[in-house]
Amino acid sequence: MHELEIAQSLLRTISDWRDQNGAPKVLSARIEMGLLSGVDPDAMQYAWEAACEFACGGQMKDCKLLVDHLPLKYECPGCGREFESETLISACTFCGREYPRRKGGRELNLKSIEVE
Amino acid sequence: MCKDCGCGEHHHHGHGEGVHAHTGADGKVYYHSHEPAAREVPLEQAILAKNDNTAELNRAFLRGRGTRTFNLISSPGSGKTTLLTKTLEHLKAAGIPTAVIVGDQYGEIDADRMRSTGVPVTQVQVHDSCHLTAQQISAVLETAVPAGTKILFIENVGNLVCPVAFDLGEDEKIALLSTPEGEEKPLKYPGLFTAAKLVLLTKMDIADALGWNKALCIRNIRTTNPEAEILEVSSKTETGFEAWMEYLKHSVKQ
Ligand SMILES: Nc1nc2c(ncn2[C@@H]2O[C@H](COP(=O)(O)OP(=O)(O)OP(=O)(O)O)[C@@H](O)[C@H]2O)c(=O)[nH]1
Ligand SMILES: [Mg+2]
Ligand SMILES: [Zn+2]
Ligand SMILES: [Zn+2]
Repeated sequence: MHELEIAQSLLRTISDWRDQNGAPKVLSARIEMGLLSGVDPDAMQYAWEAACEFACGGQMKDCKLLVDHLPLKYECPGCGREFESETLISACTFCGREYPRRKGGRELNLKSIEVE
Repeated sequence: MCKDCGCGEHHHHGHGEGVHAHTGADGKVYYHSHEPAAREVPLEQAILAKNDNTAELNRAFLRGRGTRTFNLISSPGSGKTTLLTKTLEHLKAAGIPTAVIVGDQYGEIDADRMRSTGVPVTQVQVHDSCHLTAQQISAVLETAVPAGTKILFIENVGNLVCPVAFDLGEDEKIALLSTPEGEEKPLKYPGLFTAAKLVLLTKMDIADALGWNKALCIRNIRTTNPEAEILEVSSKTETGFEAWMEYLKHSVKQ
């Protein structure tokens, strides 16, 4: 359950930002994660709610976690096409060439927060 | 006029009235709410930025010392400690100064096994956590890695998922996959196998008895990571140790 640690890390960043910006209510936090980030989306939601419960003196309690799931990006050295895939693939969707080059997949980023 | 429902009323937006009802011109009752005006604040950054920054400092320290660092990750019981204990003996015989940091939830069992080789082994207690962090490595780095150390092995907590997200400052991750775990793990847990530079297939001595399908296992590794090096070893019989030692010696020269 390293999701809890990830949630706490996220909360720390947001809490620091609040402290420096007049402590507004934070309605939601938007993150993006790649398919290979090793984060379980359900566990992450659960961990987020648990972490928010008592954070910032209860001020974060109903803050929503919005997750953008990033697809994998591939570039095929055979046909030169760039394309996206929801799963790992071992051959190019277009020309069938084995092992197109994968780019990224491990993203785990905070994008933005929505505040009152 | 309220532009959402066209009800002709004047609302004060921005103080969170919550849901309220209107009767529209068509006679129907509409419910809607006027949420307070929200604004979006971009905060682009890696969620684990703090860990990543510490990992970079660890990496700089280790490279400054001329130490090559391997982060060993696998399921519990895949053979990390057994492999390392044997490997340390070989490296000692070859005159290559080596050090080990081992993360375990409780006790010093693994550390003591490896200390029998005379190599400096530092134990990090992670308690209930399922992985090491860059901060935990940073805290012991200076004493754990004596000057002149050529290779540092970090034995991560036995876990196939969580350690992958936490950069420790290593030069490369090594994934261990033991034959009793079957052939499908690379597809089920692609996070580790895509991140590893080397995949060590361990417990090769019992592969035949298990009916383990080597071609299928290698194909599954290739699907997740076409570029990974794959070596087959047994820590019982030391099959494959020559190639494994070559790999280590070569990476030290780089
Ligand atoms: N047959 C066989 N058994 C092995 C081999 N390597 C390890 N084992 C056995 O597998 C079991 C687990 O090995 P460990 O080296 O403790 O595994 P580990 O990955 O360090 O385990 P954790 O630290 O708990 O994650 C032990 O009973 C070892 O004797 C091998 O090459 N062949
Ligand atoms: Mg061990
Ligand atoms: Zn975990
Ligand atoms: Zn193609």
